[in-house]
Amino acid sequence: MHQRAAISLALASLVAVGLFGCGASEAVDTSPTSTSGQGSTQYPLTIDNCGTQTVVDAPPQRVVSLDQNSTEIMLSLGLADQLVGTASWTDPVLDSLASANSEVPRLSDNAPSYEVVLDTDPDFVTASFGRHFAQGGVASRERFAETGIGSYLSPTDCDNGTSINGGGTRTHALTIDALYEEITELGAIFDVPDRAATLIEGLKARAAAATQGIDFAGATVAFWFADTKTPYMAGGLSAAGLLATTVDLDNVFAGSPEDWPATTWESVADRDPHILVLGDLQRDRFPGDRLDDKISFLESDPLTQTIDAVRNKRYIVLHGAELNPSIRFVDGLEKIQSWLREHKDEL
Amino acid sequence: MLAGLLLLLVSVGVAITLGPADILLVNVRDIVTNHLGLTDIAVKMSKNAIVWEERLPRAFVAAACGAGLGLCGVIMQSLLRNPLADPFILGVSSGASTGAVVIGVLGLGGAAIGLSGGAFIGALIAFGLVLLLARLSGGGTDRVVLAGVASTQLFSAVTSLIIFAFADSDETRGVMFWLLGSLEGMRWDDVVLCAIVVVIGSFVCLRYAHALDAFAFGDDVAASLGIHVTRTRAVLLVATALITATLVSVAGAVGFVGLVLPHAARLLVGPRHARLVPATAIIGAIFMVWVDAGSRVAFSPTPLPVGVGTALVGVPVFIALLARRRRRT
Repeated sequence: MHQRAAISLALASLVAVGLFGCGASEAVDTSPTSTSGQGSTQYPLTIDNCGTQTVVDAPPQRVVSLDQNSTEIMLSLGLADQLVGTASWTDPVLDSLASANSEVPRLSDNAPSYEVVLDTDPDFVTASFGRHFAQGGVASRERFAETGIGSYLSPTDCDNGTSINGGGTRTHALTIDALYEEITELGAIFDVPDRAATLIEGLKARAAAATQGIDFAGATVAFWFADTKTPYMAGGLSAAGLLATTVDLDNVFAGSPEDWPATTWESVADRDPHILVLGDLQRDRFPGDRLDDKISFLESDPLTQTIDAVRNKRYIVLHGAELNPSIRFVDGLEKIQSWLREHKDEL
Repeated sequence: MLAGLLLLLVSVGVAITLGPADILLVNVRDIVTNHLGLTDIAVKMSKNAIVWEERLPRAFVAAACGAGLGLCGVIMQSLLRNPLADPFILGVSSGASTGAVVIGVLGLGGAAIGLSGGAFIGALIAFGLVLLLARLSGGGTDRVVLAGVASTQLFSAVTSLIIFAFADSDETRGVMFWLLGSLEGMRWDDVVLCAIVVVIGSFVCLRYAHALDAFAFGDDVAASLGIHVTRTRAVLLVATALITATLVSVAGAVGFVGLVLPHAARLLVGPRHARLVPATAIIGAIFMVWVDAGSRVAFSPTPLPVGVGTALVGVPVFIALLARRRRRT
């Protein structure tokens, strides 16, 4: 009985597949894609990017950006037409880029699968974090290269040829130059070097203005990203650590080489920072992601209540993207500057 | 049996048409016939990569894992005379996890060995420990089970220790995926490896089908029937450990299949191992192919670890089988 059921099921499926599978093959468009650009970049362009050589023969026309930081740089360079998919969104897009972003399909709020990325028929993939190219990520850079898809990893995630987010540890502190390097390299790859230069000049000007007249008088700070049980605090070599050194704040966890080490409230209370920078994360996935949750936790927990920053309510609020290496770093500087202007007397 | 194999082939054929990417059936047909050398139709490179380099290897690895883990489940349950035994009872999956995190998180050995290599070595070490403990405590099936429990707990604890002490949140997520069983990123060399292991394993099982029947009555009865109890048990344990270690190091620890599928097969074809062994393999293979297709699609664009799908889908199916059985008897 089972035999007959199995055979009939198999035959039925075969017939169904046969019926649907009949028909003419789909036509493949082999016409050359139009290339537009300034004509400044010499192709083929070889980029040595975090231990992988990427050769670009022409400005990529169908790009998937796997991280929000990379997406915002691309949009700022006016490359919305070349973007065919975005992923890994931690915050709402920058207001100035919202209309350009609305034209670009969002593949996933988190990391997409390899199939989903390939379905957009990309010729280039960019990422800010190396985990997408590591085991358990989307696919390795070699696998993308097998189907002729070039890949690019942000230099902010690179240290001596290894990806930090992909499993390495920083040996030296992140500098703002890595971010400018990313913008310059993307400008070269997509043949828009002038736009890249303009973007960098703008960021540099804003950064210089934001650090004007900042004097924290030797105050100490801790950057709290998320998690109320094992708080993730910024280490010294990270982007948040760079914020601290740029405005001359003393990061109490500067000794840790990790970007976001998991710490304990005991060690935070022991170091007793004057100021707490709180990450306001839109993802709202874990307890303490949102700002309100963070503040209510800090002010109700008997241990955290003793911290100097909590007792005096010295909180600087930054978005998740402002605490990670991205063009929003400058927004972070500006927010710190405006907080200081308002609260200078309290220090 | 033949009907089962046919159903498996059809399942694979249908499964490769399913997925988040919108690929028409005619394209799938073209891609397959192109690779078989029958046609030379122009197909988009990305669609070709999706069907031939992603979905098809996954389907075959899923089939191999389902068959292999089901087989190992049958052996374990019969050998240890324990209906709750599964292939992971020998500590193999915990050892594999430890091996994987040692390579992945601590970075020892690094690119030379790779996660799968580390997992395989870890699995063998855990199994070696089980044999050692069983031998030290006097041998016998109940000692093997207890040794397996001890080994599983030990290596699980070491895995957790390494993750919590050394891994950051992204590394943890990457490892978690693997711990739950994941068919993401399967390539053709994984298919070849798994297929070889499962085919050899099936022959070994079939050869010892009589012995497995005899073991159901106890060691003494089996010995009186002319079966070399210690040697047979050793061979079957080693075979199971090797098959499971290979499959787990490729696809992670896929749960449920090894535990419940032998029972499902027994409900359908009865307890004689000459029929039970091939039935479990085929049912396991078909089951995993469908669960894999489902986990591609269920939460698209985010991939679901296949180990989650096997339990979520398998439990209701198993309950239905049990209920049907109850009504008949």
